[in-house]
This record gives sequence, structure tokens and C-alpha cells, in this order.
Amino acid sequence: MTDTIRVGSYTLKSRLLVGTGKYRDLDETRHAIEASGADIVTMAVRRTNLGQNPKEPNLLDVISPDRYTLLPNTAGCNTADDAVRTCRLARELLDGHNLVKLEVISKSRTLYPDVVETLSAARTLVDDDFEVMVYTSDDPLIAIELEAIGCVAVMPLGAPIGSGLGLQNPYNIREILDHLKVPVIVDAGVGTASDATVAMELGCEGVLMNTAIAEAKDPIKMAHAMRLAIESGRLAFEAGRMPRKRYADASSPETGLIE
Amino acid sequence: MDERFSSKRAALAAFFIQGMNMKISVNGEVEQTEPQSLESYLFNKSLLGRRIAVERNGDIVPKSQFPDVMLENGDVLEIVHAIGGG
Repeated sequence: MTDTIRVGSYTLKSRLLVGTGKYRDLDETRHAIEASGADIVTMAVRRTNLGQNPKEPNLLDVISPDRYTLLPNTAGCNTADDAVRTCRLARELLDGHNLVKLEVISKSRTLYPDVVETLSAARTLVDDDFEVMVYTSDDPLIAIELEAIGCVAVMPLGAPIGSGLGLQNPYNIREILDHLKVPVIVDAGVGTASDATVAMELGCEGVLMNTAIAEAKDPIKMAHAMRLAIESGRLAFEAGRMPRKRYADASSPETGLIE
Repeated sequence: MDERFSSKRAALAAFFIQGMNMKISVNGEVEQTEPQSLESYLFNKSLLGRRIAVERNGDIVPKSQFPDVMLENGDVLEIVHAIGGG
């Protein structure tokens, strides 16, 4: 397939974006990411363990920045200030790579995005020459504002992070799609392959997921399933579904029958 | 410098005994160390050459400046690396 997606200054071959959290070990991480076929791979930034064994493998040894487009996130940040600091550390960590996933999360059990802090951080980061892919709620007005600020992709949730409930808000996602020119990528909420397909059939440019793959019984097989689901959903969207009808419409000709 | 960091630094520095040794905060833990460059500190911690990034008193220290930055009493360092995340 020659289908590509453009996010800021990046051109990507895969519409599936994957996280690297919750895997058993780095080996499983590597195999699952390979099976997913993803170009964009997210990672987190955390304090280094000062007593660590220098020989201990590092995430960047298995997910090479030469092979993947790394997307450092600001997970765990509850304020715009902390999110901005984390992005600056990530840019230094990745030798000037300026693509980031901004997420400012509330301290509630929903892990809902704090859109007030998110908007503030997005403005600072765009001014500081970051290319910002932003995790947000499914509020169309906030999505429009984030695009106006200059974010390169807007990523509304389909359901709470890690819930695996599947797309709970197709109306909102469709409304956001109608208004935005930058890629809309569903981030969070997918539980299984059909959920990803639903998001793609709505016209989303991509889907970002982590738990649905990492917490599957067989993460590598699920990564493969997600790759196919995303491709199927995209193809179905491009093909254009048939209209819905209220009554049956026979598939075989109703003339020429034997008597 | 962010004022949060200067006040944190001042609070730390106020308790520190001046002399050959100094105290710095690294990833939230206060430790005693010799006056030295950031590069030498990282070398002694087996962190030099690893994929890390360093923030000192709220500002990023580019890798190229590790040899030139001298640690000072009351410095607040954050040393980070990449880990799995979604």
C-alpha cells in the first residue's frame, strides 16, 4: 500500500501508533512493535535509577530512533509546567527530535485530560518549536482550539485510558473530524481489533493504542490483528460504505427463475 | 531560572555545611559530593555516554555542556531516561 499519513513534518506509512508500556520485558516490546508495523512509537520520560547496572538494556536499544519515529509522552504530568519540562528533557534526550505527545492528565479515576492545562502547555510548546500531537477530550470546541494553536495532530480519547471499552463517542469523533484539517487520531479506549476498525471507518487518520496490545493474552498476535484492523478500517472508509436500508434487498436477480 | 527552583535551591543551601563537600539534590535525593563538573559527576555514576538528559535548577543542560558545567552547592538535578509508556 502506498497510503501515507502526514503529521507535521513527518510522513508515516502506518496509521497504527503504538505505546511501549505494560509489556513483560523489552523483548516482548520489540516483537509486538515489529508485528504492529507501526512507525510512530510512544515512550515515557522518567528519572534514571542512579544505582542501575550500566549493562541494563535501555528502551532505546530495542526501539531504535533510526528505525522508528519516537513520540515521547508527558504521561504522569498534572500541570502545564511539568509537561513542558518533560518535553524539553525529551527533546534533549532524543538529540533535538521535536515531535511530542502532550498529555496533561487529571488526578481523577477517569484519567481525563485536563484541557485547561493542556491548552496552556500546547501554546508554550508550539512557541518553542515543538511539533505537538495532543491528547485531549472529545470536546469539538477544544479540538478546534488546539488546531488553531498549531498542534500537528489532535488525539481525542475514544474511552478512558486503559479501559478497553471501545469507541464510546462516535458522534463527537465525527464532529471533530468535520471541523479539523490536521490529522485526528483516536488515542485511548480501544480494546480489540473491531474497535480500531470502527475508529478508522469514521475517517480518523489513525489510532494510538498501548494496553489493547500489551494486555492481550498474546500481545504479538494482537499487534498483528490491530495492524490488519487499521488497514481494513481505512480501506473501508476510502471505499465508502453502502447506504443503510430499512428492508431487505435480494442479492441474486429476482428474474430468470425456473418454473 | 524558574523561581520554584531558586527557592528550592536556597532552602537546600541554607542547611548545607560550606567546605570541601557540598550537597546537591539528584532526582529528589539529597547527596553529598565533591565540587566537580557535571561530566565528572555523571562519569562517577556510570551515566556518562548513556541515553540520558539532565535538567539543572529547572534548565536543560545540553550534552555538549556537561564538561563546562561546574556543580554548585544546592544544585537541583533531574536525570531522566526513556522507558516504556503509552
